[in-house]
Amino acid sequence: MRNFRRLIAVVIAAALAPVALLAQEAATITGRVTNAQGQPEAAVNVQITALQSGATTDASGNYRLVVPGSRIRAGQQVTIVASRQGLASQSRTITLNPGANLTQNFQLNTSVLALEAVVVTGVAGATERAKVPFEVAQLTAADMPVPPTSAASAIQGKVAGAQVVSGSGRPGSAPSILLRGPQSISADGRSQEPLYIVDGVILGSSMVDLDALDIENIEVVKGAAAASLYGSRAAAGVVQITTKRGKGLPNDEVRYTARTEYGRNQIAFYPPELLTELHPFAMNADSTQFLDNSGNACDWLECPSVALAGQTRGAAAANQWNTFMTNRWPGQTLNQVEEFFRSGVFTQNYLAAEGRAGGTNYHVSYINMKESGVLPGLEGFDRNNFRVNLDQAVRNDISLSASAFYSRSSQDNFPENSGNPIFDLTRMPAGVNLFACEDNVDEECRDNPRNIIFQPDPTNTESANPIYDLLNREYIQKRGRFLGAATLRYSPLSWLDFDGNVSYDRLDQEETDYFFKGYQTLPANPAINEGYMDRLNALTEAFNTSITASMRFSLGNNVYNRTQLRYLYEEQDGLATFTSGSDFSVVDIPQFDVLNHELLGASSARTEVRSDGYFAITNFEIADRYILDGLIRNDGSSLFGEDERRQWYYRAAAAWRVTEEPWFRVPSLNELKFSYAYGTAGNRPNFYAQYETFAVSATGITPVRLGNQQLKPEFAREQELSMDASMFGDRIGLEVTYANRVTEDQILAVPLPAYTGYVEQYQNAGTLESNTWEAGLTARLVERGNFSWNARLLYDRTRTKITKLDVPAFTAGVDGQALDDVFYIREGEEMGTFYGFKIAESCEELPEATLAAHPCSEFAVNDDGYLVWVGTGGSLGTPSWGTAGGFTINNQQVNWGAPFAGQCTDRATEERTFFCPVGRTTPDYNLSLSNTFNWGGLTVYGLIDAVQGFSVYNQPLQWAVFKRTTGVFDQRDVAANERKPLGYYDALYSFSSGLEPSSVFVEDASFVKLRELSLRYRFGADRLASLPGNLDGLTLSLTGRNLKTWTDYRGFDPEVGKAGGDLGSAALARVEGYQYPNFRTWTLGVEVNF
Amino acid sequence: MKNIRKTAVFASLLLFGAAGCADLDVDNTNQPDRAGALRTAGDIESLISGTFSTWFHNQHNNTHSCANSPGVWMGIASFQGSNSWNNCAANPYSQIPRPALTNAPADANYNTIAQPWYANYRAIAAVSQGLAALAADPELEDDLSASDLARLKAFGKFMLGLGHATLATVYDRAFIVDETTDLSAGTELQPYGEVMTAALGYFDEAAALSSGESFTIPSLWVGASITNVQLAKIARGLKARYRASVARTTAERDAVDWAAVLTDLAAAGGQEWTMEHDWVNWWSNNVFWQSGYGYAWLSYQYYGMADQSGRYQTWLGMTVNSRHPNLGGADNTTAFIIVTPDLRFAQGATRTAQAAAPGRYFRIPEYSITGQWARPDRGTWRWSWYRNHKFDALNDAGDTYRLLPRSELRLLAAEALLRTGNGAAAADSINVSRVFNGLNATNSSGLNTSCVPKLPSSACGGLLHILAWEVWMETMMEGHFGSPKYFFDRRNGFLYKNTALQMPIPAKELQLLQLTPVYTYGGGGDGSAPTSAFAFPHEG
Repeated sequence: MRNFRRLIAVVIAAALAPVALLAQEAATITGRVTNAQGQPEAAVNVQITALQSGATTDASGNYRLVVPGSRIRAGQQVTIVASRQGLASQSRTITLNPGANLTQNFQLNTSVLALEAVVVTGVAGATERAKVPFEVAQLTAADMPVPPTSAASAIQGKVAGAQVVSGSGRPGSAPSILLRGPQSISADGRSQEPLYIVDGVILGSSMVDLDALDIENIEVVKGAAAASLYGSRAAAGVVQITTKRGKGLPNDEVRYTARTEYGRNQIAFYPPELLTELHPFAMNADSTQFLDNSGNACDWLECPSVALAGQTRGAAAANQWNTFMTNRWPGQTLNQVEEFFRSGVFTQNYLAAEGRAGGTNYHVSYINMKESGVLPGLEGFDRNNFRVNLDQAVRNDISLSASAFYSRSSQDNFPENSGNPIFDLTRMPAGVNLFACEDNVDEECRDNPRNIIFQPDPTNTESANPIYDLLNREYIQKRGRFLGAATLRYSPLSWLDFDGNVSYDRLDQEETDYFFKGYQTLPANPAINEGYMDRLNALTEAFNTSITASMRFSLGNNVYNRTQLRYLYEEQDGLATFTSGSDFSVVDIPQFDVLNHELLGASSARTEVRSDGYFAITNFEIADRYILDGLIRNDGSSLFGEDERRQWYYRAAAAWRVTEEPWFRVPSLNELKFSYAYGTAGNRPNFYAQYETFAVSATGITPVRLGNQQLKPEFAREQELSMDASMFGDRIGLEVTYANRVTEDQILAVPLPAYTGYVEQYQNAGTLESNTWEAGLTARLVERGNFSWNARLLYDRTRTKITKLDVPAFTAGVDGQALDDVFYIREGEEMGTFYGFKIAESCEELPEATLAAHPCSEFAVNDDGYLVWVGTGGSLGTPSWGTAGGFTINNQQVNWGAPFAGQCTDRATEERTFFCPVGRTTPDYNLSLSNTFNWGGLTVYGLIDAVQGFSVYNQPLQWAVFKRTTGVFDQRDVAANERKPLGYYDALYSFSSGLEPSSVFVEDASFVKLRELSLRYRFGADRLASLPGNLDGLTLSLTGRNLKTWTDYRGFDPEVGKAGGDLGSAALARVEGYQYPNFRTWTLGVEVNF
Repeated sequence: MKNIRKTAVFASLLLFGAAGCADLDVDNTNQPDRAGALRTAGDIESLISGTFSTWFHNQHNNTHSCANSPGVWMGIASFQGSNSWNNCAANPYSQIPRPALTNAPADANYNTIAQPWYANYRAIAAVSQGLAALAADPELEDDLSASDLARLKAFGKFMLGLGHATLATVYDRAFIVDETTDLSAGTELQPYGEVMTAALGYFDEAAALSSGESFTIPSLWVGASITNVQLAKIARGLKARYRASVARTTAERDAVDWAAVLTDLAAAGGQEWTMEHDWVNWWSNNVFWQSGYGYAWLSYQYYGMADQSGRYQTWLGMTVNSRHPNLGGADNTTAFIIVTPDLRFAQGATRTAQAAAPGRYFRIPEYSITGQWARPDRGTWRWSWYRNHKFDALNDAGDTYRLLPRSELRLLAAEALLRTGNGAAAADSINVSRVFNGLNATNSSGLNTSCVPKLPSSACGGLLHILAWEVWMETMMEGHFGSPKYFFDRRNGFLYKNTALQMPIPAKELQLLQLTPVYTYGGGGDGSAPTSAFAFPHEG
């Protein structure tokens, strides 16, 4: 009975309580949040956690936080906290009373470690970075003051351990990303790229369609330990992008942004070695005409037989050893390289609206980007992107998030192989005019590009006018991309959420290559000259769905647990159809119907991938300082062999926040955290790898590949040790990470004995090991008044070695002529080691037999550092050019002063060989330094990127030596006694073994680059008050991308490489093979917020 | 707590129970596997009929990349054509002095050694699998008409012959594989003589199988339609070619069963084997790289023997590295133009006159007049004023390509007759083309009143030399690897000193079969040509 009365009392009290509470007035706290320089900071969360109340600052940094009176006890002391990623959180204690009106301002410093940031990648639910036991790099929009032209390049120079290489400058092309080095010995048919996730959509195709202006946050998980959660797709790491959703806005606010950027593309550097205005031919006394072998003067193009300058008239043989390239072309000469390229236009326009009202927040945007690039005759790249993101609270316990993105782009394609216009350009003499018209054309040839001179140098039967191709060939790629995702969250209990997610990624591609009827080629190619067209239509779809249960438990004092269970299912489908044909029956009708039906061909390919996986992950947080994490995952995939359909992955990780220990008393150390993670992840085989295949063509069936039912994914084990520290009042932040990764079961196409008839079988047959050091140092260097200077220095180095190879050593390469075999894959080799012939630099590199017959005293090292033969008693001081040594090295006649191939000792066989390592594509280390200066409304930002100790194979320069059109031969400004003749440089091109890389042209490509520079001035709302439109801000900017490079590399840009091929990444296959050169861009921009 | 456990168990069951529900079995619908490829008799027919394409494309570099066939370097090294490009290993393996072949997987020219090996076995294995499948399921034969079945079996044996014969002529050892071979037990390498014996047996079987039912091999299979009668004859003609071509040295040449060669040639009845060069499915890069406009010239080294002006001897007298189309004076007076009665060459006493009067096979083109040849450091001895225009139509627009030219059969018969002591009949065969091209007839004594060829010593060539001359002229760039001169010169001791006489088993295959050490031929080591029987100056 007593209990019953008590119950009644409680019920009555409860029933009356709301009435009583409602009677109390709300308290209001207003204020402004600024940064260290006094500039307003938008999107800062101001919260009183104890009262479950919060607000967000607007563009002027103002906030208004209303606490319902029902939650306030008179005189209650509470902590109010202001925080936002990138800023160090700040808290204040205030006293609240019902109806109170308080003002509380905050001035937040930049956070040097960003441990307050919330991480969602690789963890069991959103977790403060301070409590994540492995490294997850994060970038926000604030870290991208120079908006990248694509989302993929956003992390360039900003994440230690992430190598981002724009192997090609072709507008609209994607860079290659390599996280902590390569993880596959051979990525043939695959790539070394990380797994990309955008707003919950696991991408099925490249990131290239995504822009960067909508990015709110990028998280980069670099290794298998952190990426174990993503199982068999994640050994190369994970990049997760979250776009803006209007979440952080104050309630009932709609924010509009309009941004426009206009500028120019231009070649930043014209390598002087690429072409020369000089020639090696004999000329008459006043240098106006050439001389033939009989001494007769004649004009170039009409001269029957031009003689070399050093050749004795009437001599039987031209003497390249007595000819020095010092003569200028008579008449008008042109710097063909500078004439060839043009300055292009860059524009980017952005419109966005985002808002929040009650349980709804959204973001809608449109971006148009046009970049015409630097090649004449090509229109470049044009992309339109649309995005809609929406979050809706349906009920207190149900919410829905949806994202949709559509991109449509058009790109002038450019074949990036030998024989393309840049190849032809490197063979054009300075005395011809590439923009001239054909002789028989009276009209201005630019009115009809088909009239432009086709063969400006008639003596060159290999290379036509490069402009002709660019103006007349139509090679267009169009892409349509749709990404869509929806997540439904149901929270039946305070500690339990269920998430159901579906995502869809669709890419439609059309690529057409059209040559009109009558198109000229050198040499004649009937399949093209009568007209040719091919078209690729490809559809790629990725559908993913998952269901997740997330649980949060409090287990006694200061022990919290988060546990997540998930099941996910994935479908990836591809369908490509290729049609080609030649010989148009009518002109200028680019349709397949009018092609010669007998010459029409078609092929198609269809791929399907079905995968699923399930995992359990749990995380314990003990006393705010001990973090334990464990996960287990099982993946199944149709890509695995039939007997290996399911694979297990796991992780164990721990972190210790030393500075949270009660006994820790080092005032200058604000945060010290150690983490250790051990985890596993995989790389899947390509679609074809497991199947036995016979190739079927019009001419029959042939066996190709033996199937392998035991084919497994590559299995990476990674150990990661890291330390995070902030010091001196959070002014200095230091992060150091060491990672060791061993990737076993390398998927390799293993050749089979010839008599089986099969070419190969994919097997798990090798191990790759990499070691990585990463460090980041962030400092708030100066903070005085309204001036501040923040800097961030990043360093990383990775070494990757093949530690086991169960197949015979093999060569690897990239697409392109003579590029199939530039790397050597064998046990003990570092990945990316170039092999070729090297120029001897010391007597030790001479063949033993040579040294026995010709003692070292007959040789000297010249000013290029090469060992050359000077004969008995000879010296470099007394040149004897034209004297033959009477002996050969590697079948090369040894002449006085000539360089020649040197030998090395093969590491495996210990035999002497002319096939030697000549460079390595993986750098000794990467370094980047960013500085941000704020002074009132002015912000100056610069990013300098340095990649040191790596090589690029400069094939265009090596091959230009073959034609003697390169400035390598140029002796005009060389002292007479140091001049070297044609034969000397001819020898650098090639010795006896074909077209492999020469050590002279596998160049040290170390560089320092001013990658980004931005000057911005922002007018705040207060200064815009007089203008109509209720403007929140107006920002004017001057932006530069890829501005200046300091390097000894003799090409357009040392940041070059080839994606695809055996190595699967431009960051690894550092080969210059006639790609579209990288260029710089200057723009002016205006951004308005209202 | 109870609810928590229930919920956790429920969620776990829900999530983990879903695992394994997905169907992870996906078929590859792009290419069939063995079962899919060989399900019907029609499939087996496709398998076997496609083997010629595999064989041909490798022999003739049917790609623009030109990296597969040794045909180009064999042609350039035997001076059938001349160029100094590194493409197709033309420059590296034809340098003077001759280097050894580089049998290293990483070498840029390794594929010229490796690809014939793999491509021939791809063809051989496909035939073997097809015939074995047919033998394993006799009911499959019921799906084919008697004619089609005979065609399939005959063509299969023909391709086994072609594959094994090709291997035997260029590699020192090879495997013998057919439908009776149990590959699961592995197989042993056999010396090239044994491999050739097997090849000749397959050709015999093909000929025998072609003698029953009438059938026609369609153009799609081999680039031209061939009847069963023609196939039998071609098989016999090929037997004759390969029986002779397997010889690496003059000693081996003498050991060839020349009587059998004659028997086979008689059975061949002069049957040519031709195909349409359509530049889509069929074309020969070998020809292009040995005669294409702007890429190749005619070498003076051998073709200079047509010259009657004495400039050939002058040219040969110069050291190799100083040889040049200009012989040392003003070029109009010292240009090394070949003055010859042989109508296959341009006619006239000056360069200008010859440029205006192209010969039947060779001419002086405009670009030679301008003297723009190639890099001198790769040997001005490679240069000449002349280029071969015999194959212009083939190179530019497609034409008929002769895989087994009638002229080869005729001249092979002449060679066999010569070796069997019937010089008069040999001379008659030789004179067919010799006289047609403006040269005086020869006889069993080697009468050579035209003095073509005129040997380096200035003597007029004898009957063997006259035979060689006609072989060089009339079979040029057609037939075996597009470089018949290499094989003819090899067995007759005419190759330039230290040219590789054969190819090693590719290094990768050696490593795979654990047959190391890797070895090679040429360059003065094993398998190098001795000093040429022509005794060229400076060759020693």
